Amino acid sequence: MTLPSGNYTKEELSWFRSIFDQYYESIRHFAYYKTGDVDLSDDIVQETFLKIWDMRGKVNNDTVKSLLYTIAGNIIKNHYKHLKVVYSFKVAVKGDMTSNPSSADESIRMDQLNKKLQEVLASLPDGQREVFLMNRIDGLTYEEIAARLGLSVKAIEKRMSEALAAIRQKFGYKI
Amino acid sequence: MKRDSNINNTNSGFDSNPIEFNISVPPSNRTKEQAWDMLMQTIEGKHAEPARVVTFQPHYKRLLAAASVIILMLVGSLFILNTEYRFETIQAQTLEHKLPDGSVVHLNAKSLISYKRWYGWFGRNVRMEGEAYFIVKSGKGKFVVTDNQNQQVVVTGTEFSLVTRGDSFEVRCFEGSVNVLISGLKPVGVKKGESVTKTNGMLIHSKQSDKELTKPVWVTHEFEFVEQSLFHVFDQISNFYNIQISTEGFDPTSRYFSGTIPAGKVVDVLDVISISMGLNYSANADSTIYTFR
Repeated sequence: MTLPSGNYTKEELSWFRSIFDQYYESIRHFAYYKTGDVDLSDDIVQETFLKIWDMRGKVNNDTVKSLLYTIAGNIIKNHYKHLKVVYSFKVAVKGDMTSNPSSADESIRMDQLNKKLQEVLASLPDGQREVFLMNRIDGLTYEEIAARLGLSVKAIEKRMSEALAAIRQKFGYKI
Repeated sequence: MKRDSNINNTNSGFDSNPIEFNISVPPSNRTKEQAWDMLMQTIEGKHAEPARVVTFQPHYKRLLAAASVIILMLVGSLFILNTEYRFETIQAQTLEHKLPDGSVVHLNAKSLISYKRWYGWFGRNVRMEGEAYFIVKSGKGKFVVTDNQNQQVVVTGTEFSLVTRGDSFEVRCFEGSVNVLISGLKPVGVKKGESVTKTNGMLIHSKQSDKELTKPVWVTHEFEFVEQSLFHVFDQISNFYNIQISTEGFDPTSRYFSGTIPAGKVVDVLDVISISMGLNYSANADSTIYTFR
């Protein structure tokens, strides 16, 4: 990593790098939950971090987390609101299935399951989906999600339970 | 992916062995480091951009300042260039003036000429009233004399006299040719030895005899007579000095005079004529009427 020339200090750059290291993945995921598009998510990540960079010096370390999510959410809201969201989450199967890959029947079943899962996720309302996925994929606690989305923990709990209920109903699986 | 999202299959299809699904977001097309490098590149670009803006702004302002200075100078120079040179003579005064292109104007009494500072740039335009004798240098484009009734005399290189006072308008051409342009009238070309007079709204084009083609006295300061009758001579002199000349005992139209007399004092001129012609003359008390015998 070369130090870019410009009117900023080394401290600013290292601060920025630490923010980037900490939140790159979760912001990318967040963007994906909202858009269902990997490339677009990459762009949104770039845009979000550039906005934060522009705000360096004004950003409080306590709020930077929720700020990142707010920025990303606004970018998506402002620029990509008419997207038709189609998800293609990677689904890997754990357990006995993986140890027994020879079964062609099983793999077809897995494909069907996979497709169904994407559909169910896509059918969730935005708010529920992102809370659910932040919890399940990013492994964030309700408190963390609440802090990032600027919502109350109660709201997260409510969305989560709604999401779970919807999935259970549509998917037929207990998650 | 700190925690796996386990979707336990409780459906009949996967009855015996619960299956765990591990959902994850599809990988990005770029690595985290690539994403970082892109960010850094953009930031570099962003820092270059403001720098450009910073340099561009003063440039723009400087350009603006330069442009306004130029405009101011242009406007100012228009004012300066629009200034008019004006030469006017009073009663009994004559004036010889050299125009910027080398042409010479002789102004008779109670006359004026004026021209702009840009005389000679796009053409040679002179405004004139009264009586003037022009010696126009050739080869420098059209020379246009306009009077206050927009009657124009257009010349390329020649000598001519122009009288324009009130209704009277007369052009006499001594060299080359001139064109007389008066709106509503047919343009008239006047060649050497010819004259044009405007009478009753008509241009009278008349050929002068060579004898009559003498430069105005007020230009040459000489009376030049070639085989002229004394009537004509006395007429010229009395007009020039604003006196009256009468004759007794002879017919001035039957006697002719040739010679050049410097237009000095009246008595000197009359002396030359009287001596050479063998005549006597006397003046009245206030020297306004001279009688030749």
